[in-house]
Amino acid sequence: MPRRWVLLPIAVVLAAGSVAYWTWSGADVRWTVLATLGYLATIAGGLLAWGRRPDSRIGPLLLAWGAYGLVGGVGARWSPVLFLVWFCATPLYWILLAHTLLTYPDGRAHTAAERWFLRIAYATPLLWLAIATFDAPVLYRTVRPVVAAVLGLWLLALIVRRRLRMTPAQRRSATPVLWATAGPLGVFLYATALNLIGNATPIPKVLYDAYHWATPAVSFWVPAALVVGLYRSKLARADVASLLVRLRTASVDDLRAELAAVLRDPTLEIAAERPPGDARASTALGAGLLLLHHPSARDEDPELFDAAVAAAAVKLDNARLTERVRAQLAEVTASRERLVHAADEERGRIERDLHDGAQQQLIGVGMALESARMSVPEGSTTAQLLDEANDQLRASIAELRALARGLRPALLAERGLEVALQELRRRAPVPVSLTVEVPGRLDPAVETAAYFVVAESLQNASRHASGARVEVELRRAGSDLLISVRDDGPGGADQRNGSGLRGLADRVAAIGGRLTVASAPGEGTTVSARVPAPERAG
Amino acid sequence: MSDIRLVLADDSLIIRAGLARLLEAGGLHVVAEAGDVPELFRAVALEAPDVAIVDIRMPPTHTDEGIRAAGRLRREHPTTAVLVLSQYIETPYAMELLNGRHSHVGYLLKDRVLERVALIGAVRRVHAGEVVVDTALVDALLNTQAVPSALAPLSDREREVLALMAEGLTDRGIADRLNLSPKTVGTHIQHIFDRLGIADSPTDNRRVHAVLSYLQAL
Repeated sequence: MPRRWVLLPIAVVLAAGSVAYWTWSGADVRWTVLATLGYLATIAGGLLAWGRRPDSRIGPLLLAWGAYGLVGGVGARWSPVLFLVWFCATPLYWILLAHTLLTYPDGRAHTAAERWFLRIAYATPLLWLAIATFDAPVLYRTVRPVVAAVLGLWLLALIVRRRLRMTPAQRRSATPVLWATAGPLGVFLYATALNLIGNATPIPKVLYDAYHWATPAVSFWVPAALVVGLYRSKLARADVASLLVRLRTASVDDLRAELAAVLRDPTLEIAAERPPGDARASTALGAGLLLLHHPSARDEDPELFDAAVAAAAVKLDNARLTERVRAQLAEVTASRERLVHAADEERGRIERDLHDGAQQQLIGVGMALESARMSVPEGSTTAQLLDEANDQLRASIAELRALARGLRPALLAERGLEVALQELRRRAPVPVSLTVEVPGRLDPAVETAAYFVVAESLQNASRHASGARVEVELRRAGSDLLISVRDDGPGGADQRNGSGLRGLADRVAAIGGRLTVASAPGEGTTVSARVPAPERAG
Repeated sequence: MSDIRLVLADDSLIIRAGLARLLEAGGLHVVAEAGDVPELFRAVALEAPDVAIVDIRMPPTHTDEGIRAAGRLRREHPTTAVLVLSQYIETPYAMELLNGRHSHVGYLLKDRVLERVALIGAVRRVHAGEVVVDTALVDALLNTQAVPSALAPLSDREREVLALMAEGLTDRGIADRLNLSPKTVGTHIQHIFDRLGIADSPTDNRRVHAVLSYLQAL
């Protein structure tokens, strides 16, 4: 429990003293107890308000009002000085009440008019001091009601004006206070009227009694209205909680509408910057965005406002991070695709270079050797050397050919996937059954990936599963291409340990596909890939 | 000495020049050279050579122009035999070349130009109407462990003989290679024809049929 609640037992002690004093001085016991309980309720209400809204001055104002009610007038009988003090302080009861009701919910004056009202109101005890000093009962009787009436009407005007300037949200949570204001204001105006009329003509006692009993009722009325206000504010807090929940699924576009609903400010907007001349206040939402809202949107309930803004900022942050991650993923995917594409292009270029360059030149050299060989007599040492050179040259050319063939199978580009796979099957060192149910040509990247998946898997099978049979199957599933290479060998292949399989997985992933290897020991090895395979246009 | 007249088509001047020198030295007569397919057709139309030696990769795409040109040449100029040279020997190309043109065609690895004797032998054989397929292809296919079901009825020895037929060897050549008598080889070949269900027809065609079924089975 916060330390300020210590004030409550102190107030109870003071209340007991107050009741004792007034009873001793001959006041009506019932009225005194009722009024004192009213002030205690006010103090409790003030403590509640203070705890709920530490940033608002409403709590302290209510405490001051309740405290004044409890101790005001006590001891006046014993000391002329105290009597004078209490006499001058009489207006404080109304001034503190007016201050509370005018400035609810933040307890602060917003306009120059409100500030002037408060200054003048708080200065009235000086007027009372002047009246007491000059000891002029006439002045007291004429000036006091006039001052009270003027201040009362001014207060009424200020409250109406303040209300007109409120956002719908503020108006909504300030409504109980409007009712709260009506109570004391009515009593105040009634008292003023009694004073004005009573100066002129005698007034029935029952009218004074009504006023007499109405004043303590005000002390219950105002804190009760505040409790209702707090209750309403709690509802709004629940709105923020549900806002968080809703924002989890809502799109960023819905953010404005959701915030406007929670903060009850339909003029609210989310923008990158405040347009010049815009009268709205702005609050940073992060990500370079501003929340443009009614200038006093935050004053009504800063905690609620901050919570809603924080919820919105979290949503925006999440959206931004998601967007960034998505963009990075797209970038990585694109760059991987480019890498594989570039690598394939490069392989093709190297293959052509080997073919058109090195091999042609080697063949040219070989033909020169053959020409030389023809002019050399059969059986000579030179003939033997030339034959050896020719043999070595042809071995080199064969090696170059094998290398170039592995880099880029020309057959794949020229005759398509099925023909190239059939040739792979023919040359495979293990028996292969091949099923290709893929009509038409596919994207070159897809064909290349599929070709290398089968080629690499066949090579693995011949290396690790000699004697095994291999089933190769390619078929379409919707717009995807399914590739499966299954052998009945010993199994136990590990995708993580084979650089060949890993390279395949990368190649497949680069075109948006997925490669999986199932290879439990004793159950053979199945390499499967699923890749998006749009049919080649044209 | 026969006087076989040749046209060479290769986009490399060095290869053409070297090839021409080797072939001329071997007693063959190179009557024209071509750097691309249109030139080849002009030369063939003009010279009506006995044999055209065509590189598979030629302008403009440097892919399989030679194979396509060979097919067209055999259709349009049946008197000209075609020998295709290629960096790689692929079964589909061999089949395309042989399909429907069961004589006077050959498909050799490019580096056979360094084996003067083998090259000139191949030229003479396609000129004589035989089908010549590079031994490299047959070797590559023979190295596989797969025994296609179509060839299952054959014994190992018969399969061996069939492979050599596919290389384009004559009965005599096969007999020499396997150290058998030509008569034994003849018996094997007859068995092959029977077991592959190749009907009785002029021998040349039956041999090619056998080779084709061999290639297609693999």
